[in-house]
Amino acid sequence: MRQNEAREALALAQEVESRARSGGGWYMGFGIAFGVASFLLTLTIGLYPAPWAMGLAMGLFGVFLTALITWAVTRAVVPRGFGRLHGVGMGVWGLVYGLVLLLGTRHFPQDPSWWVPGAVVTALPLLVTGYLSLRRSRSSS
Amino acid sequence: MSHPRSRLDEVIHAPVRFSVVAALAAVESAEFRFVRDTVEITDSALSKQVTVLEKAGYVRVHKITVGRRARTSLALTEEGRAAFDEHVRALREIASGEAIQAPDGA
Repeated sequence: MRQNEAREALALAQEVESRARSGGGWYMGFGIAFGVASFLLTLTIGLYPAPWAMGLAMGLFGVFLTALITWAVTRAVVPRGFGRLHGVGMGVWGLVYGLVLLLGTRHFPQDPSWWVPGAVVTALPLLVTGYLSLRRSRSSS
Repeated sequence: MSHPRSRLDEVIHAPVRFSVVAALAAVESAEFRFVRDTVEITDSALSKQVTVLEKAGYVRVHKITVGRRARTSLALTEEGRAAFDEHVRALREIASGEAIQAPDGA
């Protein structure tokens, strides 16, 4: 193989890799959708703690999450490092969500100064993992 | 020191297989149709190349049925990823001209 052939092969690989990586960009959308749903769920539970409101919010969240997961599993590409990144994201979300709910219901019932920032914080973990995945999908190896 | 040409992987070296492996190296896994469109080849051509890569232990093929549709996903094995990395390293050395300069520089 000659020098120019090797250069052409490397350029081709870079182009194909770039095209393939862009197929994993959907995870940013997943992160945004999940973040918005988490924000609304936390806010509803915190500010409207009536059983019917909580039940409605959790029911809608469940339906939305099912639709979101169904959409996610039908994507054509699983981004590189997805399992670990998403696992960490969901783990952090579970921890943050649990803490916001636990502390909020005990010490700040229906207090917007706790629940609004708390709801924002619960939206962050998957927004961050979505962003990290997108950044990775746009950079070359 | 051996010429990097000797480190080029015979299985990956073929242009279409090289493109298929490059596409899979960039992701965790991808559907057959996505790889086909990314590499711009026909179903049968990709199928043939995937069989070669699978026999070499470089690609793992996973088939699942979602509803009425059968979906085939492709992923590089660890061995395939390592072979591709080594192949690209050898290509970079050839492209940089290191292999030509080495004998004089030794």
